[in-house]
Amino acid sequence: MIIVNDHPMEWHPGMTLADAIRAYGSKYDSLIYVNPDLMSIIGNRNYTDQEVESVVLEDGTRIILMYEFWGG
Amino acid sequence: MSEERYLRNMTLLSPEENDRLKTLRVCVIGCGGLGGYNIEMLGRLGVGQITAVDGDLFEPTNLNRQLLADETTLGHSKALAAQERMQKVNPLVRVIAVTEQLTAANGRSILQGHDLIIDALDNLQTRFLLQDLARELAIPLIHGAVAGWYGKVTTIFPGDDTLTRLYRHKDHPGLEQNLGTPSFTPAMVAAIQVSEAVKVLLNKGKPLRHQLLYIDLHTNLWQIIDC
Repeated sequence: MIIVNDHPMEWHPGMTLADAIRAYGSKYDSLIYVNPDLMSIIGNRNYTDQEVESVVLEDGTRIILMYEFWGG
Repeated sequence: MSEERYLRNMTLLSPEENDRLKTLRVCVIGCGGLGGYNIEMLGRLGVGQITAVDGDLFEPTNLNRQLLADETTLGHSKALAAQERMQKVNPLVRVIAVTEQLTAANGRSILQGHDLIIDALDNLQTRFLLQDLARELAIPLIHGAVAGWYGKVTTIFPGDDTLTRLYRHKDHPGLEQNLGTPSFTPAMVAAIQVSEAVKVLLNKGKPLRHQLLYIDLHTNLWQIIDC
């Protein structure tokens, strides 16, 4: 189980975050926040090159995947 | 001297706008990475009064990125350092140093009477408190945040709940805990915050209201996202 924008989703080993977003559906708005811990689990991503990702769904909706940060 | 000081502002700002800036009051919450640069640029623009709010003292880990941190200010108040620096940069600007953190108890008295607030904080709890207080006092708020190569800015007008929409996972550590903060990201984000401040204060241009400017310097990706 993973959480995308507070929405629980089934997750299977090998499933990419893009797959998860597509499974989530294309009705959601354009901004998706993903917790870094989850991001590091999905697809074995690391923090250096995958902090932000853009996914275009089949209907053309562009989704921006973004880590949360609030440093000053 | 005072006219020459602002001469290079003049093609961007009319003489009337320049004079108007001298009458305005901006409160900068946080005098660290973002706040130091915000205060510097607001002062050089000629904003009449800047309130610099920060209860922290400078420590060595601040030296890599915080404009007001140097070998002589280590262990000193960040807010007082802002005041002292502006005396050297532009003594025409009045800087009021508040050497305590913003809280629910002191927030209203610190913020009231200002024309604009700059959010240069480093934690979500106080950022949300600041949004609530700004709404209550009907003062526009310019939000900025940084982590590693990444930055974001949005402009929040009274009644907007932009932070609530942007930050949904308050219990997790922010990405800055993993990526740290280099010298260039706070300077860049602060510059955009000041640009937003000028637009709001002088009713110019198109502020980032209901929009998030998201910057990824690692790949030079700049995006404006509706929010």
